Amino acid sequence: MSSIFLAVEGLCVRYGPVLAVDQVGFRVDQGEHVTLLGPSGCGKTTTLRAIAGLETPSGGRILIEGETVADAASGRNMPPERRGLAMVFQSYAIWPHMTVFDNVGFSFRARGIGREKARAAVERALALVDLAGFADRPATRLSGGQQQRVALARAIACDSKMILFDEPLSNLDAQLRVSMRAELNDLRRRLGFTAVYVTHDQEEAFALSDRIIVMRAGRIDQQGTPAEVYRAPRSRFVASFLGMTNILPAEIAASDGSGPAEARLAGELVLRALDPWRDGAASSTGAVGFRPIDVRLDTAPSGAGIAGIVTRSLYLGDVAHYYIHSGPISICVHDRPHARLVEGQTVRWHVAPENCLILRE
Amino acid sequence: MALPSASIESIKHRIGARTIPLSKESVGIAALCGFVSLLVLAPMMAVVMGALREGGGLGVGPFLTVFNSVAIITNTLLVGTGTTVLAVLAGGALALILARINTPGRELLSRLVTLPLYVTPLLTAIAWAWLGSPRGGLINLFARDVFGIPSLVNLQTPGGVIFVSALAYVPLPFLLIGAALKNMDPALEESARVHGASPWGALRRVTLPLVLPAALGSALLVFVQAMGLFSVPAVLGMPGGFNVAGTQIYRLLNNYPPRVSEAAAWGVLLLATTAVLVTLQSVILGRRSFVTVTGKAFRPRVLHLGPVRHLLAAGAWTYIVAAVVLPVATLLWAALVNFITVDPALMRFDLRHFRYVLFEYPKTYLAFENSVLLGAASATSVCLLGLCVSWVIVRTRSALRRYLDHVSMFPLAMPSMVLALGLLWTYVSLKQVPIYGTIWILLLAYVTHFLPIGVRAGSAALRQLHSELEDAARMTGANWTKTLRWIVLPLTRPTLIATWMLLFILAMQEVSSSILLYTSRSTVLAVAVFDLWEAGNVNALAALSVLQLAVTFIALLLLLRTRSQEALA
Amino acid sequence: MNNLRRREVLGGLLASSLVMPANRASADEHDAIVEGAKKEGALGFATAISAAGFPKFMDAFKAKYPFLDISSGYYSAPTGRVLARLNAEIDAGNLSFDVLHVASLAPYLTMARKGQLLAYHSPELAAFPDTAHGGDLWTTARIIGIIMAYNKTVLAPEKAPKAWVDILKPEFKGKKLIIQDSAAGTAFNQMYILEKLLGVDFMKKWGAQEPVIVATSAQLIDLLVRGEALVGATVDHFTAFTPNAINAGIVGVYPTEGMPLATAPIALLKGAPHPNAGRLFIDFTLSKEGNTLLAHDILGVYSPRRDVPPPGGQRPLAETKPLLPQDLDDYERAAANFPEHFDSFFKA
Repeated sequence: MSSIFLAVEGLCVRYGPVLAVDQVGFRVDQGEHVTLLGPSGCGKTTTLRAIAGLETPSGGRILIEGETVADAASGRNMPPERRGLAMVFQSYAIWPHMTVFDNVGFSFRARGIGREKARAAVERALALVDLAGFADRPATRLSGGQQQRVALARAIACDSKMILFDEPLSNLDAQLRVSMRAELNDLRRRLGFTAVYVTHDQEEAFALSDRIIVMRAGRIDQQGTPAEVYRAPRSRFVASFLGMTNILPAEIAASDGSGPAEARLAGELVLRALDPWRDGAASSTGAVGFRPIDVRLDTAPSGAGIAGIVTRSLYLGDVAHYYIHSGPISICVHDRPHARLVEGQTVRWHVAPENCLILRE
Repeated sequence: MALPSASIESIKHRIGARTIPLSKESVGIAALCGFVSLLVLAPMMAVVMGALREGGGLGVGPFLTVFNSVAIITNTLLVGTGTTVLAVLAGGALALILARINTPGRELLSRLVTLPLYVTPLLTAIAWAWLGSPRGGLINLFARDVFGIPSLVNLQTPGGVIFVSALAYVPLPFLLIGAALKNMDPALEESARVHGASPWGALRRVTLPLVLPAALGSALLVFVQAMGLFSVPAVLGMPGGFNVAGTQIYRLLNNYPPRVSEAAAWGVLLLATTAVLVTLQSVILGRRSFVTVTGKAFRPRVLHLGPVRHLLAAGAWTYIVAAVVLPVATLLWAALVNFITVDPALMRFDLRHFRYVLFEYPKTYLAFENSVLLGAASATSVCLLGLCVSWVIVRTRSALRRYLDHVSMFPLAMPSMVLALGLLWTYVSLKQVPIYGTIWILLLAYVTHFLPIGVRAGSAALRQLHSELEDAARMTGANWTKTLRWIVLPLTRPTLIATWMLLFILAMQEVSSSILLYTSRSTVLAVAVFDLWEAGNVNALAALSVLQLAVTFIALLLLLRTRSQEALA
Repeated sequence: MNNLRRREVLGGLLASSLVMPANRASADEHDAIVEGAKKEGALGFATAISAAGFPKFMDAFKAKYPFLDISSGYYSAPTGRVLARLNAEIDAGNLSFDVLHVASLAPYLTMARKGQLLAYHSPELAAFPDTAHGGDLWTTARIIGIIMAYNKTVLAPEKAPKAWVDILKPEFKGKKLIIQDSAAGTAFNQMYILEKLLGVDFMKKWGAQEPVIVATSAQLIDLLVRGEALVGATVDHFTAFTPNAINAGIVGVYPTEGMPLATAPIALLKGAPHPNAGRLFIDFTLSKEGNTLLAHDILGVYSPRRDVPPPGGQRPLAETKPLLPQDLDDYERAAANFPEHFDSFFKA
């Protein structure tokens, strides 16, 4: 039985005249990993910090395990040290004037628990992050990756039920990022904590999350499992953020509700696409989106598909990127490089209806 | 881990339909604001009110008299501008010579050039008065005996005032412009070189313009100080009848009948002028910290010059000799000679002045004791208060923080003699706070006067500290006080210690505010020195100053040792 | 309010022939004052004396009345600062001083008129001429004469001035003379008397000589010793006759027209927090023992008491052709405007 661990309701956070977080609401179940995903400035970090108690909400409320920790209406804002959460910061926030032990065991010191009693928990946490034996090292003599693990160990040692992550991997190089992702996943499954994670990296979000919340300009655009969000982005923003970079304005024909809808592109070109968010039978203006990797190319002089001219061709090793113009429309295609299309070459392109999506917002 | 049961930490406060939460934090910030406002604004208001007192009631007579004193206003502007131009040019040149040119010995020179910060201008002025008085000045005697030149220099002129004041203020532009030069990205000059500029051309066309904000900032700082200056014009200007605002305030307060309203009016005029300029400075330059120490590891390009660099080094040494070596040596000489007279044959080496100062002059020990105590107390208070204020300004998003920033910088615009006058008036009638006539009112004067330094230093220290270090502590269970004690204080300690030392030294030398507020029990070193000067007891004055400089020197050594220890850690 | 006529002022002060029969307070009254002082336990004394040896006087007083704390309330500063502070305290009703002693009569006249002084008929007044005190409100405790001085190693004695008018000679123009600033109490006394004696023209020409201006007489002597100027024209007589000054070649000159006097009264303040301690201090200062110590031994100035000898090495007062203000109302009025008046002659 899963219970709701964190509930955010109508959260608003204001910085002077700017509303950084605007009516954000979501729930996190016990043991879930939820990621706030979005570009910089979308309010995801502010939301996270409000949950932590480091920001004061100007509207809405936040409940942890049923208890109201923040409520703008009544002015209540429980300070962070009382909320029983843990947090891993983007800069790691390792205190340079202490040893690794003092950093990791800080929560015990803050509660007045002696070093000896803390030792077991600290050693255990360090072992979990593969830093056994580092306890007495001064914090200034750690590499970036090691600092990140110490930050993680500190959060684990608190033994809190929920850990907040503020873009913890963005300062690591690409290889380290990938391996740390896997470790984070392992840790969570092993220790069972609830996680709220903030990142701008779509791949990271997909690899770690049970649920993703896509944010833009202080609001939630869409939330769902990674598969749901990937297959059926609701808005143009979410679609393009998740890799659906071909978004073409279209007239969506009226339909009877079953089967793919018909999308009339500029200039008599027609694509058939799925319409999962269809809210009526009437025709409307919108867009149709599809991924570059889903476009099929055909160099035969005639056949199915839309005619176009290759305007740019980039060879990237594993894959080739082509930019194709069909009249006023231009699309981007990722294809296996064997076709070796050159600029100026005519080609026919086609996308299967199940890979096309009608986007309205 | 169970969350603690709910405890209400905020006070509900209804205004109309909206509720404004008042947490413990915002109450604390408001209280801090109130305290700082009282500290700074109360004496200011007292001075403004005092300037409007005419006869038995209110009137603008004092202001009219002030505006009519065209000569004094001109003199003040002359000294202000002259000192600023000279100090910025010399300080900027020194910064260039020592930061960007391969001048020999620049490490040592850089440290020595800042020494005048620690020697009060009063002593420099007195020493230069002995060096450069038209007939009996040591320089003139030397020139006469060796070269036969009758009267080489006369420092008891407006030019002398400007020269000695500039000597005292050169370190400020040197530090600010030097920091700007050191923190510059060398790629900026390198790209100029790649595109065809000569080394000198790159310096001129890229470096110097980029350094202009720092130069302007330091110019405004020096101008503000020079306008309110008292000690140098008192020693070198007053004898020739050359008066500036600072000396005029002094004369008005020393006269019978004392012209307090007029003195207050001068104070208000100075206050208004410098307040306008300080506001201009923050508008033009934004918020720059006083001494920029960044973690960036830029290695600035050093210009390699030929033999001319020795000339430049000589120039730097000349400044150090003029600003530090000569004055200290002169004071030492005056302290060790039996008396100063025009006939050298009568002068003899004699320790009796030291004996007098150490064993007979009744004020010596009390003054030392009070000075050290007050120095330590004001340094500590300013550091703590400055840290609290700068924490609010840098770390919180309180609506009051801009106000707090401005109000805590006001004392920069207030000459300390005027501040003392305001404090006198405020507390003489405020019997509920019985600090008048005690050492506590001196403490208040020092804390108010030096608060801007503490706030600037605290801001610099906090800006270097990533705020997430404090957030992490709070997330890991530490409340605000624990975070301050275990995280903020230890990590800002190097800056705080350096600031403490500087404040201690400056407080020990503070003369202008002390003169108006001291009593026999609360006399301080600076007052004792000034008393001796007023009483014409020059040799004892020299001996006491030498002792004061010795204490300063010890404090400086301690500062350097703690700095190097921190660097090793 | 005193309506003193010229003859009385000169005659009374100098001849001191009017020795009144001892009008001593009874022993009971004195004991009552001592008892009162014991309860008060402290003394607040504001003075303009800055001489190095002055603490000896305070110590002597303390030796007589050891139960009094004399150091906490002691304030010494130039006359103007003392009065500024005093006025601020009086305005605020927070007076911390009991006794005032500065070297200028004018403030006392003003304070007497405003009712800021507390009458006290000290038993010592018997030894003072009537004209040396303003009723029971203030009493002259010491007398300073203002003379000229020069350094004989720099200026040959035959070239030195002998009369006040000699300082107008062209060889003393341009930073060759030294005078005290208007803040010094003695400057006012001297210049007021000289202006009355020699006319405004004299003052104007004196200003045209562009003298160097210093804050105190001691600084003036220091400049003479160092050879920075030739003649001191506002010299407190005692500063020219110290052993150090004489050894350095300073010669004091009693001008032929006469020596202006500055009297330094002492008074008890109304609203004094320790009035009895103040009375004891005034008694001590005016007593033969105290006044000899102060005037003769420590400071080297003249005492109004006939039984105190003139300071060593100096002419007796009567032989100096002493000059005093004649119309005290005019004198008080002139004091109120003196700073501006001074600046009109001597400021650039």
